[in-house]
Amino acid sequence: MMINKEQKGILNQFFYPRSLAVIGVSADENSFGTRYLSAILKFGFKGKLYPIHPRGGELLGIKVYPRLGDVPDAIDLAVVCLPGRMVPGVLEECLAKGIQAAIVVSAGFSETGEEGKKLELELAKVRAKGIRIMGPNCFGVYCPRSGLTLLVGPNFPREGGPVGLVAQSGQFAEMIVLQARGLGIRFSKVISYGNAFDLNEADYLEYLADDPDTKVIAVYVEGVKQGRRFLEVVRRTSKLKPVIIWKGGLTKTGSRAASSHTGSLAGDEAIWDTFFAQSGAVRADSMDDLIDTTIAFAHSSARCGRRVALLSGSGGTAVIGADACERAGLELPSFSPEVQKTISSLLPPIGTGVRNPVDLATPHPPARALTTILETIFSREPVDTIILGRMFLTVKGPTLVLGTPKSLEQGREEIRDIPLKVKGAFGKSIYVTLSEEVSDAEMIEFEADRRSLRHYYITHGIPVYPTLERAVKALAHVVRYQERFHRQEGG
Amino acid sequence: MTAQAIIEEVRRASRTLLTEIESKALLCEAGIPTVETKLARTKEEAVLTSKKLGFPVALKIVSPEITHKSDVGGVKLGLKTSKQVGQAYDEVLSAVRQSHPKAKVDGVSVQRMARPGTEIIIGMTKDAQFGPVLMFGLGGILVELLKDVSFRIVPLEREDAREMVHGIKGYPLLEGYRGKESVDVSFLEEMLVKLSRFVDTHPEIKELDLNPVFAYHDGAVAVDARVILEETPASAVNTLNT
Repeated sequence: MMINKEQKGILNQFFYPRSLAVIGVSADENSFGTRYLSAILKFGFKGKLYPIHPRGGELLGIKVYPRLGDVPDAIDLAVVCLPGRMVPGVLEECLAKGIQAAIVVSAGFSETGEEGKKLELELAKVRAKGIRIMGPNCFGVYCPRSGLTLLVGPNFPREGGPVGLVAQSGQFAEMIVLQARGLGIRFSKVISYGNAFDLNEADYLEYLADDPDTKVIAVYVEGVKQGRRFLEVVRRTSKLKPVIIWKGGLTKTGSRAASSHTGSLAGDEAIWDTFFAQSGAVRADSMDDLIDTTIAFAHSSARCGRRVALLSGSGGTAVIGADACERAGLELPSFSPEVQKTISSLLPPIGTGVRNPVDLATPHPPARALTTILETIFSREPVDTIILGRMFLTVKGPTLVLGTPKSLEQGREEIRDIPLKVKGAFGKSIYVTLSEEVSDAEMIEFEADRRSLRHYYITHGIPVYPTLERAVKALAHVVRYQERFHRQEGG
Repeated sequence: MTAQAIIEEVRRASRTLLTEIESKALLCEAGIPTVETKLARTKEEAVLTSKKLGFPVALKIVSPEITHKSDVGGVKLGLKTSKQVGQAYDEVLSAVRQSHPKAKVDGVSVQRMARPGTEIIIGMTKDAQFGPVLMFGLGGILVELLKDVSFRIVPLEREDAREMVHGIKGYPLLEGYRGKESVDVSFLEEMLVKLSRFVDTHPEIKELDLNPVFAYHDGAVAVDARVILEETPASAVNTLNT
């Protein structure tokens, strides 16, 4: 146990409040307070709701209280959506009401300059009296289990999942959830924490490290408040579950004004490189990379090693995939002569490669041949993961894109389930790539087919990527993480 | 003198830059071996000290206002006799008077020439977000040209120190490349861990260079050292970053 009970208890109130006050609702449905109230109502918040506005009345079918003090019950969490200058006063009222936790959605603090910084000083005085603050300048918490969602998330998935996301930027929190949604990623908790005036990234990470619903942690940060503590928390957490961090704002290599040799060499980039090496966090360099890697971790049950077999329906893709493996430090062991012979016997005699990577020389291999090749590789070669590149695993694909005669669709229903069956039989990983190359508006039918196929695979525990490069990069992140931490466990 | 006493003395003089002698005394307190270095205020003292320490010796200007001693002709190496020491003393002082006529000069430092080893640089600087950070690399022109260095954020565990030393591209040189003597890598790792502990307990230190450190097959020694303190004791507390 790494988080103290008191801290955990307070943070629990941010994620599982039994009662919640929304301060700053108005008749204007565009106001933040009203949008927030309507978002969690629509999403299905399970606790009691108390909107606050001086005029009272009713909003969205809920009684509005003029003042916090009028609310008959105890309140676990206040969500403050008023203009920044009003926030310190409102938090005083929260304290008077006995509220210990507040999400401050309002902007206009240190991110805006001197005036905002002064306002944060006032905030500090209230904070010192005991209330804990998430934000300001944030979108709050998404926690499917308790029915909480972000200001912008009334349509986020209702069902939860294994991923905890901590994002400084509310916009990115929103974008990541929306993108990940179609990729089968579901969240235990998402925290858009903004300026981190009080509770900061290290606090949230500590909480998620201890949260049994969270198996993988994804983080977007620009800067950290308590760097050293953050390092220590990430280091400890990484031993328990993967922490994938995408650090924004790395390109500023301002070597600071320093009078020592050491100081002049220690630019931002060098220090963050060090942070990743030292903490064991998985480093993502873009939103795509963060999501790709999260998918790979969420679906990597078995231990995966570096040894990969690559099968592709085209020679070019096989070459590119092999290059990507090499660069990422994955190995493509050459198959034994016997295995090569078996594979050869199943493929057309010309234009194929059978050593690994395997060039099938056709994007729509016969189902039986594909099954036998996959089974042969897993049963007779020391391979941890098979990656499938450039292959039509759909029934409609070939006809839609290549104009392949409809007669070839015969018996192709089978092909879709081959990766599932082989994965199930051997308990090893299979990664699938489904390319996005057909992007014309008219080909929407192909796109719909691709998406439903992707959904099908992901829900069956098979990660899907648009390109081999991205599949390889994500897998390599998992392999390196497992090598580092399984070695430490002595396993 | 304890580390705290050295720091306080420098503060009383309203300085932030420690002289080489003060820097080395501080590092001694950290348990880091340095080449024994004495202050000589006069030519006669310089000669006498040289005899006591044993030839050959090095003389370096001691002035709280001069940071880059060799750039101003303030360093003379490999002096083998009393006569050479006397002559070097005059040369160093006149060179410094020419380049920095107003600088306060305490005298020269005298140290025995260390036996040659593999040149290493070890240092500490503070990052605005992460606090103290240690650096390790191959010294001399390799650090100037290739910037082949590695960093770790304080506090360092032994494993961090190991990864840090093994993490530079030039690591094979430390293992004895092409018949060159190998160096005591675990001694260097131990030095890094000691330094981490020391800077962690002395937040007043802002930056630090041990450049060069000579590494041998049996240990290592800091030949030159430079320590810079935080501007005010208050900013030392702020950057403690805990």
